[in-house]
Amino acid sequence: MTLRNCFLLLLVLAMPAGQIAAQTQSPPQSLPFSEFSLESLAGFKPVTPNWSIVGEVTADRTTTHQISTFAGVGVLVNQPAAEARGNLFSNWEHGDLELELDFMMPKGSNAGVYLQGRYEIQLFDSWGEKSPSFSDVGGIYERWDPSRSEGKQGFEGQPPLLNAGRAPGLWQHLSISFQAPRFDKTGRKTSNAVMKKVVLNGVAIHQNVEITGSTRAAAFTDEKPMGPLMIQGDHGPVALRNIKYKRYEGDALIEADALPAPRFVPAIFVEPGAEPALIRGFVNHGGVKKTHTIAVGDPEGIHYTMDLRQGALLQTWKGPFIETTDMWHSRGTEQLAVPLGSVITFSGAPTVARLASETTAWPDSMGNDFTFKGYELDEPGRPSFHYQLGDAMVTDRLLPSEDGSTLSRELSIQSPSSLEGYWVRLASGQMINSTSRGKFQIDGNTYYVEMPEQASQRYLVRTTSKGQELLVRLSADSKTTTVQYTLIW
Amino acid sequence: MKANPTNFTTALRTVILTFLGLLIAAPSVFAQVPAIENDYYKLTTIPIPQDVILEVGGLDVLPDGQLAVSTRRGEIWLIKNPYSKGNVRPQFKRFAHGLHEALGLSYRNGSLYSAQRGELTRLTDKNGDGRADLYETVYSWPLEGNYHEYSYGPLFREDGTMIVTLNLAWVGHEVSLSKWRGWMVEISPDGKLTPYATGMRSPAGFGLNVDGEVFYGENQGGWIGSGYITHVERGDFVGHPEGLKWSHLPGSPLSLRPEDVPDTGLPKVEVAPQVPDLKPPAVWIPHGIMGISTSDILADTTRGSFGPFTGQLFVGDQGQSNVARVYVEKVNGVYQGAAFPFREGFSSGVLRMVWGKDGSMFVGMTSRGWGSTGPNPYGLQRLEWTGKMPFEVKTIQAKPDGFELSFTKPVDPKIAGDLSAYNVTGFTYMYHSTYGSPIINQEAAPVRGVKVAEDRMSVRIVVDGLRKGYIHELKLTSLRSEDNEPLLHDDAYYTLNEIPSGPKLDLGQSSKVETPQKATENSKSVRQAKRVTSQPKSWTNGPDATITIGTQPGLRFDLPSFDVQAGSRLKLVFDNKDDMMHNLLIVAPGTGDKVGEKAIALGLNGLEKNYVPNLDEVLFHTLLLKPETSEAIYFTVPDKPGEYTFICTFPGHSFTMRGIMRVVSK
Repeated sequence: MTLRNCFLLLLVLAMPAGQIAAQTQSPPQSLPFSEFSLESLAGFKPVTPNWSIVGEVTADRTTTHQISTFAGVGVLVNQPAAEARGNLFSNWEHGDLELELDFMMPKGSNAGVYLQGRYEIQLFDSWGEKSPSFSDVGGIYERWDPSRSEGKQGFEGQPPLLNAGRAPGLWQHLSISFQAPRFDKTGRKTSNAVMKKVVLNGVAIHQNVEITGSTRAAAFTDEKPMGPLMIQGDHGPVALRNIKYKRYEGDALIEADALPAPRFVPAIFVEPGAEPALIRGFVNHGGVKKTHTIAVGDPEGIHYTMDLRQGALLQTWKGPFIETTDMWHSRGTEQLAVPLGSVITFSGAPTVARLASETTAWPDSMGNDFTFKGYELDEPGRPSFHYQLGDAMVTDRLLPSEDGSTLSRELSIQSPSSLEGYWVRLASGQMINSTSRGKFQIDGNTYYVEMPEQASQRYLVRTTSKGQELLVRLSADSKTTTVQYTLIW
Repeated sequence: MKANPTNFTTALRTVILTFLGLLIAAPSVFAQVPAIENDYYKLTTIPIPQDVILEVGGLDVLPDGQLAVSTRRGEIWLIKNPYSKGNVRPQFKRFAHGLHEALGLSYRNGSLYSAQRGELTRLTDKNGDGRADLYETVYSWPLEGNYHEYSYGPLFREDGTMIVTLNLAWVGHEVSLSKWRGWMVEISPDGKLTPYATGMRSPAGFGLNVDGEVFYGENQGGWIGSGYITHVERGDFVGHPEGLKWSHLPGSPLSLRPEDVPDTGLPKVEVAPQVPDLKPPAVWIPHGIMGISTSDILADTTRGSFGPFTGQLFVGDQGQSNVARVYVEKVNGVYQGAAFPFREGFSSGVLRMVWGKDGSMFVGMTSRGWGSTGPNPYGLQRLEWTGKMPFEVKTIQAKPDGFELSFTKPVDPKIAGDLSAYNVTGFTYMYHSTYGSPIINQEAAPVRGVKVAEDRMSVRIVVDGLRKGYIHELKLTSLRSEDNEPLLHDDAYYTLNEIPSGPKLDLGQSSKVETPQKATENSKSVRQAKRVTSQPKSWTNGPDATITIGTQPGLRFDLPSFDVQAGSRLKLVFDNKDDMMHNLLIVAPGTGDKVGEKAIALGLNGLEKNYVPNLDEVLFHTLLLKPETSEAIYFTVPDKPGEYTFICTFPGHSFTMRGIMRVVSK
């Protein structure tokens, strides 16, 4: 301890506790993010031809290692071949670093982001994996010591908190706060590298995890104050875009630790048991508090929230179900039920509506035309929702696939007269692409919608002032119909 | 009869265990009172499986005798054999789950009905497996999303109409943020809503009296000086103006507007002539004395199985974990009557009461962040009459010139015939938008005459200075039964809305001792030196240290302890961030319990004295602070090192709401 630190500590001890608690320290000054130019490869050290800059990439979620590229700039892509599989290094070196990026991988692929070329956050197609290990997407890869005995060479791998990964071919978002190791004047390490926070698709999967040395397949086995950012190129195809970073000098990232400790309360989590768990509560939906919702946690590990005042599917996620601390601890304040997994958020608009014509705008919400009737639980305990819309009765049912990787929705609509003028909206977004009959990519590959091949309904991708929407027009000739679709992410 | 030694030992052990249990469950000051109440009304605990979080929201008894319990966490549990008959443990089975804070539960025609936050729901087990599979929305109402927007009910009327109440939101004060918040509404079985009455703030409890009329219980807050119960008729305005913001909507049974209610701080009885729809409380439950958070109302329909109080109302209290007893009568067409202490010592905050098949009372509890005298977070208990007759004031009826008191047992006529056995004090509360109220206009009402009935089961007293619209406290400390028993509870609070006409007592037949008008107890504030709110002039360099202590939900300060130097100058800021009133006292080491007891014992004078008892042990204190207010006090820390307690002495708070000021030597 330096003399100065010693003096500060004494001061702190001399201050009354109440005063300490009352002090609010401003967070460390925020650096602006710098954008990593992907106009060309100029920001990287010279590399093998597996790396290129393109305008767009797509990957079929069912074809292993297959990635298609389209000319242009803004997307960095790696397509390794036997003769060209080099790793990619940034021109600059970094100590403490904040990093944000989007990535996309085809089925079965494997890559990694190495901080300082040494400490790897794994990128991997872990779709459907329920118990992720260090080698799944978001894992801090294990260290490796070949001199250790067989089976013990790998050590200190850190699995992500949960599998927040998405299906192959979808864009995913990764955010990393990294604290570099510290060294004294003699070059002796005084503190380990730390993954302060790693967020994958909106979920904090690591917080304050120390790494004692370079992870396996690092570019450098020694540890240093600085090193280049490295993207692994020798394993499988991967695309990256929107790379942003803040390079800190000195120990800027540490300062957040000096903030007063918050007072934690015992957390309350809910998980489904043998049958689904149902939680009615308030939900934060894009900043709007929805007050009449039900969250359904399925034993298959795929969960969703319905807005019972609109008949709208608000969100879906996989992995752990929900936190209710804010509803059930003490009096509760915001009273929010908070999903624990990586959430796919949908529009809060109703799913079924009556339109005057093909060009009538989709309603944002239901008025008096809509009455929620309740729900019925089937034998396994899954709800079928019932609501009335005009003279039509809707039964709305969601069913996770058995492997917990997709969610299917079935809407049965019946009317005593005719279904003329009734429409179902399956998806909305900035952009909807049809890849093949009945298969759609929503919003630049955020999620997929697939309709059964035998679907006889006429679907329509409609362009509106807000973007695009995928609609099904119900038949005027029938009094009853069923619309089915599957959400894949 | 010769005592069977085995039974005797068992009995003795039970007594010891019970006593131990009480010592653990309740602070020692109360240990003796429930022990006596327990002789007449025995309290037993229904064991809840460890993994069931039974924060009770609603209770009902099914036709087959099962107890149905709905919970804050949205579950409904059915409990078989809650009576532990045949020494068989009660069995819990989950009937339903996933409800949004189910704060009410009623059985009707094969289904259970429950008010969720946002709707009234009918739950039915269609396939007979003991679990609900059909959740039908009877009526859905809007919500803004505020935590304080609770919904309660339903209560079935005979014709199948359901009554539901909708709590106001809290944003530092009460507010109605969505339609019909602050109202009692009726919902027909086919899902039509009819607004019924408004003025409700926090209407957690309501029930029917034996004549099928609706009474609801209210909680202290803005416009509500103290808790009370009120008879509610269609179109009534019962007190809090916030719900009136919807009175212009179709269906509203009244047209009174919020701005029609003057915010004067005068007693409600004086404001009433200007506000024609304003309904007075039938019976006030004086705040901090009889309770602090009125909950359920249950009429005694047990035809004597529960003791001598047939037809009376039992009224729960969450914060003080007790049940009061209320006798109501109708005078000049208006309900009024008396509140009596009945049973305390429940294990958590009393929210719901319901009759078992055998005339015992099931009591469902939760404290959930408001804290309660009963220390547990939740619980389920059963109260049975032992068959022993307690000596109690059974009823109090208003008379043109005073009151008539009836008793459960004959009184000692010599004592009962003495005027000094009766002390009557009138008081009321302010009716204003400010949170709560001090006790105001407190005056002794001298007793001028008394006549004991021939059967010694009742007495008439003649009281001077009766005031309409006021609460009249009756203290009956010296009364004895003919067996020389003291009253189990010797105080009562009669709300006198109307004074009946009729013959007055001929004082010629009764004792006529002049009682000097008792001056109200020394009402001077405690020595101000214990509360210095501006920095002393001699502190030229300011305080040596400043401590800020806030509050947390659940009756806690946000600072468990702090260190100060002996003899140093301290500025202490108490910041009440809670939605209820608190004070902060610094007391001598080890005297927290005593000061807390003495604060409760201040009774009627407590509010006026900020619940600060005049004791040497009280070193420094703040005033009683309303929600969202703060006060700084300045004092010189005692020279003697030690662990001094800081404590909130508002009744019911002192057991949990305390911390340590550690005085360390220089």
